[in-house]
Amino acid sequence: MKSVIMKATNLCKSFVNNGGQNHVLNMVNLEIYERDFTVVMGSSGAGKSTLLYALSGMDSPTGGEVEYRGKKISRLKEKEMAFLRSREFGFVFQQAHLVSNLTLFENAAVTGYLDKRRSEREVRERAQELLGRMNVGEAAGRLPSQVSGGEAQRAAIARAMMNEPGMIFADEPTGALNKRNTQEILNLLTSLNEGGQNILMVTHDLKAAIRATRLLYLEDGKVIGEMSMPPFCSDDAKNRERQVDAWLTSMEW
Amino acid sequence: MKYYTLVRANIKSQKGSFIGILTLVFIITISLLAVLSIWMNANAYESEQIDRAGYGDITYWIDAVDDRDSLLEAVEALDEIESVQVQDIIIFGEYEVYGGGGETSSVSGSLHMQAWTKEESYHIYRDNLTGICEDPEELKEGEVYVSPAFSSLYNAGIGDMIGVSITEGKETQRYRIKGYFEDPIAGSALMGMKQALITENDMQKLEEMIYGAGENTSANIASAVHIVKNPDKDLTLNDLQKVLGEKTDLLRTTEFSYSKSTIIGFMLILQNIFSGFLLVFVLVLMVVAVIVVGHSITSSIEQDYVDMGILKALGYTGRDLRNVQLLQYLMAVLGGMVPGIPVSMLVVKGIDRLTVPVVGLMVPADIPMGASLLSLGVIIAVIMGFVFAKTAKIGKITPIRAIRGGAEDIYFKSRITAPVRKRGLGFWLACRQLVSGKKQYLSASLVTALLVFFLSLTGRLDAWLGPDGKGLMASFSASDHDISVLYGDENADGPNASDIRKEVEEVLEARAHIVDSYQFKMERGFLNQTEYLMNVISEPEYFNILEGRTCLYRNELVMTKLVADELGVDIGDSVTVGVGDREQEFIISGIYQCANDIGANFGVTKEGFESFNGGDESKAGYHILYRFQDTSAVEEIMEALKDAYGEQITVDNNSWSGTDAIVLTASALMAVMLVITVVFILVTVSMTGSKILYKEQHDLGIYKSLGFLSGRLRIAFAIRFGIVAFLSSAVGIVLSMYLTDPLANRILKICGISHFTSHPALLTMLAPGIVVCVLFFAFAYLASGKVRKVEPGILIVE
Repeated sequence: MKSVIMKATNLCKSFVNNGGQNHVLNMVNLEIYERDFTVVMGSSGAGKSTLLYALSGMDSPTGGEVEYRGKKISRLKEKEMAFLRSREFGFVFQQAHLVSNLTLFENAAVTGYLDKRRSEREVRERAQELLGRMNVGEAAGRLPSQVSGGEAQRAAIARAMMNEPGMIFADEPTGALNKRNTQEILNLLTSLNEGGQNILMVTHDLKAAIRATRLLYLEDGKVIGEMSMPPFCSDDAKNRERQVDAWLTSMEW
Repeated sequence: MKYYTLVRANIKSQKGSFIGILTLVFIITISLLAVLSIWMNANAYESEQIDRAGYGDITYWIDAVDDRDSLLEAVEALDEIESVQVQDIIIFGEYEVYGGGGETSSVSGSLHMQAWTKEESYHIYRDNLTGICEDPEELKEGEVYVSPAFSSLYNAGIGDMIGVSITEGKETQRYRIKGYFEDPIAGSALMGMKQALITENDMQKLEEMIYGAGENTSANIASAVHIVKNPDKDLTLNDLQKVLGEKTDLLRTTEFSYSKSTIIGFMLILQNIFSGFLLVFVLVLMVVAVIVVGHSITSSIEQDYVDMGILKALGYTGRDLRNVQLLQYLMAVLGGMVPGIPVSMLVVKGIDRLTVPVVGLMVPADIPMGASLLSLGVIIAVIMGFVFAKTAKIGKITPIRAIRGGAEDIYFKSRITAPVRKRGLGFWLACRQLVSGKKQYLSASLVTALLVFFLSLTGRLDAWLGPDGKGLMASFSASDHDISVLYGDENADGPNASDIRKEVEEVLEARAHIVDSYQFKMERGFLNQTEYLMNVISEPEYFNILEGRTCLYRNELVMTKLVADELGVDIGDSVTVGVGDREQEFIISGIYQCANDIGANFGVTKEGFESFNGGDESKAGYHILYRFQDTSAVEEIMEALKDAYGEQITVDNNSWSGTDAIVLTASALMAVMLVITVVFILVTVSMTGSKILYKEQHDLGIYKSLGFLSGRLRIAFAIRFGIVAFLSSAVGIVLSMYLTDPLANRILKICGISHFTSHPALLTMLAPGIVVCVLFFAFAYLASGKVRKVEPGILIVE
């Protein structure tokens, strides 16, 4: 029996548009489990990213509750939310979103500096180690504008890993990358999950989706289907792709 | 219509910048027009009022002489003279003022009394000094009109009394102050001489009493002879004086004389000093406004880069978009100027009302249209020219480049870099942001340096003036001293002057320790037949020498730069000095500083002066000037001496009736300039800060997604401005160290103060920098309130 790390109850998000209300998330109920690589799929405009950011506290929901490890996060104060972001959550966005005037190393380290558990020396060592693990150790001293999109995204993952977060939220992390970089990023995320890292990723890319151990399908702001899979194995990639494709077809993707 | 929608949209989306520029221009307009109005109106008005009062190009105050009429006929008969008018006056050397609250002031200074009727030309103020009385009341016997300066100097209001003595030491007449009149000749609180208007009957009574007192009188029946030179003759005043000296006996009977320009200089000394400083301030503000506009344009173009690309794709040309920017800024400039014009009139009116008791004049609050329109036109031209130049880059925007990514900043690795450390993370991040975005802070740093420089300038002026106006006194005094005592005539009846002097000096030695004492007096003398004030001194090394050396020998003299320039002479040249009937050749040994008579004076040794007439008369009348080791009890000593010796001696300290007024006005002016500086800093920080925040909102979103709190990011933002302000303040302070004195010198030269050196205390030097740094930090923190509104959701791409 897997333990629940995150839970959404009657989660709603509406936008007022031309006088009318647009319900992007419509009473979503779901649970995210420990050690899972959860992937949310759905057609364009289904509310995937909105769900990710509502769950991560990046965006406040219009209604409903989000719990992280038993703690309701929807109504946390700024200070508590900031603490959660620095210690428990890591983010990987579609664009790398690195601070433009900090080097890759500093981008990773600056997150670590917010964590009082580590000394500056320990933060620096960990940042260097993580960048090395992400294959951008040599580019650590460069600014984001001086590296490729793939390198920037790998540095962003290193940054997300800095404080050993309970959950990494990834929003289309390969959306802006070429094929080779996409594979590298997905491999990194897969290996992190194999090491026990919880990941919640939003994607519309089939090749990314097959990395999941659990797939959720979102349609009109509601989770209408889910599928569990064993951990990813590259030898089985083609088979998983067919399996996921069939499932998505059944969801009328 | 083509531009209307875009201009409106731009103003709406950049209303912060629009309001900021509007505010800056509004303040500049008010300050500039106020300076121009006060300066130009005051000069024109003063000149007009002198003419109204019947004064000519030059006025000679002459003693009553039997053949006055024939003397004046001879003067009037000269081709060089257009007209001569005579006014009967009675001059008192000292008088008493019985002010409000039972306060009595014994004034050592001349009081010129003259008869006044309703038909006379002087303006009478309304009782509350808010304007000129249309139908002033006739004076009754025993009543007097005085200048409003009596209220600021002696706290004398309507109903209070002034008293004069016909016989020395014995008060005979008192007059009740009926009201105030506008005295364009000596109405300023900064002038020692004062005029008072009484009835014809009172005038006659006084004359009778003076004649009755005979030799014992301390009053003097005299005439003011107003001479207008012939406009057809191309004569300078010096030429005119020479003619009068050569062809008539006028100069030989003259007690003293003032030209119209000298009177204007005296009367407007305060306006001239402060108008000069305000004008420099307005120039500084103007430069600041241009810098802020420059930053605003650059940021706006970056901000609207994509929109401009889209508009170009839709068919707008670069010129169209530039015109939109020009219109937008023109509206902001005009938006500030138009309301600034009427407000400046109110400000001038307010300044007028506040300063009437000090300057004695109610200068019209009208805006001098020609000069004002020209100045405002120059401001528009400068700002719009700058906008035109800065918007040139709009032409380089191509639709495709704009749409592909706009003008996002690309950071290149800088050689100058700051580390990012855990301890003091906010500070290190601020340093990094500062180093990587240094161009954005250029405007803020230039503004800081300029404002600190100007505040330092005013601070140094304040330090020079000192709380008691000592700096100013040093400029006006020919020599430095703490107390001056005029002892009675040695040969006159009464107590022996030598004995009194011995006693007084014992008191001075006991209470203040006399460092040195010397003799000094002021006489009238002629240089190359032009009349000037002559300072006679026994220890010429006490003259404040600027160039060359002091006069050491009998045939040497020193003169001010103003006199040297006026006569076209320099150190080493010979000049003819005339005293009474005698003339001698003197050599100029040096240039000295003394602002008496607005710098129209020269100095000789005691031996030099007495060489003209070795008689007792020339040896009398010297003040003994004392310099003390301990100057803390000067006021008390003066009071004690006055109480002990009364009329037997005349005691003065190195102060002047106008010092308090100048110090007060300087403080008020500095307070106003500080307030304007605060507003400018607020506007500058708000404008540059909001632009920087707008550009950085993406990075702020990232920081927030990483767990940074708004408070920490706001402090980091404020620290950046604090660092910019700190570094630029240092530049401003260094600039002020090198430029303040020459600049202040140029301004003060107008008033006859040809040498300004400030020696401010360390805190005075650093205070403007500290104030500006604190203000920048505080306003930046306030401006960064928008950081709270930036959510990490900004990073979400749906």
